[in-house]
Amino acid sequence: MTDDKSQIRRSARRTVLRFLGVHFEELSVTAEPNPFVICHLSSVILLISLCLAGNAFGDGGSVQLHSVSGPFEITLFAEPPLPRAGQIDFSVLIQDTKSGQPVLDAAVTLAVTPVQVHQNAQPAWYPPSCAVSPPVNLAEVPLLHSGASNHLLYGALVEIPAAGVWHVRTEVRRGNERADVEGSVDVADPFPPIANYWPWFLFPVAAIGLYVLRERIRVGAPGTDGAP
Amino acid sequence: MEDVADAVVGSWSIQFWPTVGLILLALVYFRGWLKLRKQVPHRFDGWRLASFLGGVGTVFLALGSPLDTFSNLLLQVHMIQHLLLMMVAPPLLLLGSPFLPLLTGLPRPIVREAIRPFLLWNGFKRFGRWLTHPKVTWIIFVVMTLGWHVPPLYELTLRSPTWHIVEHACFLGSGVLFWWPVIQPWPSRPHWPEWAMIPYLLLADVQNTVLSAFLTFSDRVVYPTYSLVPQFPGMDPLSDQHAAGVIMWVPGSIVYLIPASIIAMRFLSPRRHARDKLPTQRAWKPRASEKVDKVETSTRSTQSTAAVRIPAKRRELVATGHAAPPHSPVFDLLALRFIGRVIRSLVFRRVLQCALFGLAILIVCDGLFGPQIGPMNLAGTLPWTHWRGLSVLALLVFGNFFCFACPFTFARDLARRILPGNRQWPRWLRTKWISVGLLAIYFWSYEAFSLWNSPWLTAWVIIGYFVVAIVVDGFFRGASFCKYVCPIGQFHFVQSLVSPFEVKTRDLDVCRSCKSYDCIKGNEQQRGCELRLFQPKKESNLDCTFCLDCVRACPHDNIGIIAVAPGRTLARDPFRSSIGRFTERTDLAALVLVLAFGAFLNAAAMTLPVENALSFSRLTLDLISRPVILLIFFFLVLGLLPLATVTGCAFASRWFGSIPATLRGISCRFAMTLAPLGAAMWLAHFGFHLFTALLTPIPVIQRLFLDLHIATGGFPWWTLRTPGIPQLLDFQCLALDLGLLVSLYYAWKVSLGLAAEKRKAAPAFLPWAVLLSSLYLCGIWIVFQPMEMRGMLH
Repeated sequence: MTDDKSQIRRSARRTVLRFLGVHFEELSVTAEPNPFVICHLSSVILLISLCLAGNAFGDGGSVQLHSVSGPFEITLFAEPPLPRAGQIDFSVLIQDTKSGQPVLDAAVTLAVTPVQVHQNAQPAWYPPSCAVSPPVNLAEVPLLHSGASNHLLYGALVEIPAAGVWHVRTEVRRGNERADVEGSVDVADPFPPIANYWPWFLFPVAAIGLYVLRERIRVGAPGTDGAP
Repeated sequence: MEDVADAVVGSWSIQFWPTVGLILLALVYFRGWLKLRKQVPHRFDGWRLASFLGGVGTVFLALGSPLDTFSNLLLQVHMIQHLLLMMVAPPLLLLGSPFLPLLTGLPRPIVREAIRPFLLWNGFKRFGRWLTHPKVTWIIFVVMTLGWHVPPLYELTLRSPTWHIVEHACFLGSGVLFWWPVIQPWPSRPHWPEWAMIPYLLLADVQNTVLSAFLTFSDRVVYPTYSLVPQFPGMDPLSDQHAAGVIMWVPGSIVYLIPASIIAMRFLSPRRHARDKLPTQRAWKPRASEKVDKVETSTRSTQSTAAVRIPAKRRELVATGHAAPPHSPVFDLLALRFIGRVIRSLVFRRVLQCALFGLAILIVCDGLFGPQIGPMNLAGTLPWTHWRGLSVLALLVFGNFFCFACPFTFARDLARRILPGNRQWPRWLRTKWISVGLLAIYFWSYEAFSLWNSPWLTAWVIIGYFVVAIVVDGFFRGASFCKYVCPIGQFHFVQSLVSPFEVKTRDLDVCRSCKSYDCIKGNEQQRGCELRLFQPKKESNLDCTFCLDCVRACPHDNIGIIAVAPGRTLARDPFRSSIGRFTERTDLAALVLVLAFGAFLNAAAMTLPVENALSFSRLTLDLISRPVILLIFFFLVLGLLPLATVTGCAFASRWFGSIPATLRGISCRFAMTLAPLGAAMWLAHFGFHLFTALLTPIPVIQRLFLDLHIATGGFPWWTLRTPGIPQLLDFQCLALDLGLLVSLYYAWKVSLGLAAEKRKAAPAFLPWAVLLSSLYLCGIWIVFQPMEMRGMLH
C-alpha cells in the first residue's frame, strides 16, 4: 500500500516536473541546434506571466494638476510624465483636506476636451490591439481603483487622439460632497512605433551579430577548421 | 484606515517581461540544480536552491510589489527598493553558485552552440577575469551608487520610465559584481585573499555612510520631484528624505558589516591554520569549460531514459550484437505513459474527427440558415478566426494537429464504404500544382468576395470541400486528395516544416532488419501510410498528416512522435520518400513561395493603407469591379513578384557564389528556406485575430441556442468584448524576429552547402538575406498598421 502511494507520488512529481519543462533533458540531445527547444517551457512561463501581469499600469508619473476643492485635495497624475498623443494613463489621488488621508470611496470621472489641437500634426499612433478597445467617450471617463496599480489612486487608460492643448476636468463625488479640479495639459506629438518597440528590431541584429562573432571565434579556435 | 492599508498592500505592479525573465531564470536554475545535485550533492544542497530562489524572489519583490508602486511618491520606499536590488538580491543570487546550475539547466544545444564558444574564447575569459577583479567591481559599484544619486540623474529616472529601468539594471548588475569577490561563487577563482574582503567591504560602507549622512542631515529637499507629489500625513518631503537616509545608513551598513565580521571571524579562527595546510576551495583553480564538460558528460551518462521507448526488436538486436546500444535518448511524445497511449489510439482520432465533423455540419447549417452577418454567425467566426489561429498555434507547438483530426478525411472514410476507391491517381497530376492553383484562388476569393463576412459562401466552401474530398478519395486509391489537392493540407504540410515534433522512426537499425514494411504496406489489422511515406526514408513533416497509421501498423513499435529541431531538414537535401529532392521539385518550391508571399499579402489586405491603395487604383484605372482589381493585384504579388525576386536572387547567388547548379535547382533549394518566415507571418496574423476576438463565439452560440429554442443560453451578449492583451504586438514582433532568424540560418546553411568554396558562401547568401530581410520589414510594417477588425462586431 505504501509502495503504491510512493509510486503514485513519484509519478505525480515526474508529471509536474515534465510539465515544468524538466523533461527537456531528453529534448536537448537532438543532433542540431534547436532554437525553439524551450518553446513548451516558454509557453508555461508566458501563461503564468500573463496571469500575473494582468493589472500592471504605469500610473503615477508626473503631477499635472493639483488643487484643494471643497473637502478634497485632488492631484491628477499622467503617465508618461510628458504626455504624448496615444495612450495616457491618467490617475487621481484624492485626500481629505483636514486629515490628509486618502479618500477611497468616491466616484471620480475625467473629462478631456480639445482646446488647441494640432490638426496637421502626425496622427496618434495606436498599436493594432488598441483597436479592440476603441477610444472611450472622452467627455466622461470613469476613473477606478482597478484602473491603477496604486490602489490609493483612481485611474484609467485614456486614448488622446492628437497632440495639442487639452482641457482636463476631474470631478469627485462622495455622497453630497462634490469637488472638481480643471486645467490644461500639453500633449506632445506621439512617438513613432520604432521608439516604442525598438528592442524587437534590435533583437535580430544582435542575434546575427553574435552568430557572426561566434563563427569568427570558432575559426580562430585551435583545433577547429571553422566548419559550422 | 484598514481600507488604506489594504489598498497599499494590494498595490502590486507586476510587469510582464521582467516576470517572464525571472520565472525563466528560476526554472532554468532549478533544472540545473536538480541535475547537479545528483553529481555533487555537497555543493548543491537545499539551501543553495533556497538562496537563489530567494534572490529571484527579492528582485521580483523590488520590481513588482507596492515598493515599486509607491517609489515615485516616497523617497524612503524608493530607497528600500534600491537596497533590495543592490544589497539583498545579489548576495542571495550568488550564494546559489548560479554559474553551473544555469549552464546545466539550459538545453544542451543552446549551451553547446550559443554559449560554449564564447566561454572558451580567451578574450571573453580575460574580460570576465578583469570584470570580477575586486578593484574593478568596487569602483563600478561606487560609481553606480554615487552617480545615480546625483540629483539631475535621479530626477531623470523619476521622469523617464526607460531611464528608471536602466538605473535598476545598473544597480542589480553592479550589485552582483560587487558581491562576486565577497561570495566568490563556486567554481570561480579569487583574485585576492579572503581577508582582503574586509577592507573592501568597509571602504564600501564608508561611501555608503557619506551618501546616507548627506541625505539624513541635509536641510533641503535634494530631489525636487518629491516635494511636488502629494504629501501623506506626517510625511513631509524633508522628513521623508531623512528617513530614506537613515534606511540607507543603518540597514545598508549592516549588510556590509555582517559579511565583514564573518570573514574576520573565519580569518582569526584557529581551525583556519589547520585548514590552510589542505587545498582549500578558494585555492582551487578549475577551468570553467572543463568543469562544465565534465559535469555535462557525467550527467548525460546517468540521464533518465524513461521517455525513450526501446523497441523489443531493438533490444533483441542489441542483445545479439547486431546493433549498438542506444546512446542519445530523444523525447518521444508517444512514449509518455498516458498521453502517448491516448494519441496513438484510433478511437481518440475518430472521436476528434467526429467532433470536428459535427462542428462542420453545425457551421454549414448556421451559414446557410443563420443571420448573414459574419460576427453573428458560426460560419463567420469559428472557421476564419478561431480554427485558423488555433491550427497555426498547434503547428508551431505540436505538429499537424488539424490533419490528425481532419473532418474531411473522416467523411471520405465513411464514403469509401460505398465508393470503390480503386483507381490510380493520374501520374501527370502527381504534383502540387493543383494545390498551388487552389491556394491562389482561395487567397483571391477570400478578399474578392469577403468570405470572412459571408456565412452563406463560407458554408458552400465547406460543402464543396466535403464533396471534392469524397469524390477524389472515393474513386482514387490512397490519400490522393490530401496529397495532391487539399489546399488546407498543403498549408499544414509546409508550416509543419518548423514544428518541434516529427513522426519518425525511433531506430533505423530496426527498420533495416525489417522485412515486412508494414508501415507503408499495412497488414490485416491496420492500413499502411496512404501518402506513401516510407518511414526510414521520411525526412521532415512534408506530406505527413499525423494520422499515425504507420505507428499502429509497425510490428516493432519503432515509430514515434519525436522532438526535432524545427526546420532541420531545410538545410539538407537528401532523397525523401514520396517527395524526392527539393532541387527537383519546382511545384513544391512554388507552393512554399505562394504560402510565404501569401502570408504577407493576406495580412496586408486587411490594413488601411493597402485598402486605400486598392480603392485609389480602382478609381484611376476606371475599374468598377473590386474582384478584377484584386485579381490584378494578387497576380502581381503571388505570381510575378515571387517569380521575379526568386529568379533574380538565384541568378545573383549563382553569379556571386559560383554555384555549380542550375537556376531552377538553386531557386528550389532556397525557396524552401522562406517557409519559417512565412509561418511566422501566419502566426502573427492569425494569432492577432484569435486573441482579439477570442470570446466572439460566446454570443454567437447563445444566439444559436435561442434560434433553436434552447433556453439555457440566455440572451446573446453582443456587447461582450475580448480583453485586450497589451503584449500582443510584442508577440507579433517576436514571431517575426524568430521567423527571420530561422530562415536566415537555413539560407546560410544552404549557401554553405551549394557554394563552390567556403569563402563564396557569403556572396551566395547575400541576395537571399536581402529578400528575407525585405519580407521581414514588410511584416513589421503590416503589424503596425491600423487593421480592419474582421470577425468582430465592434
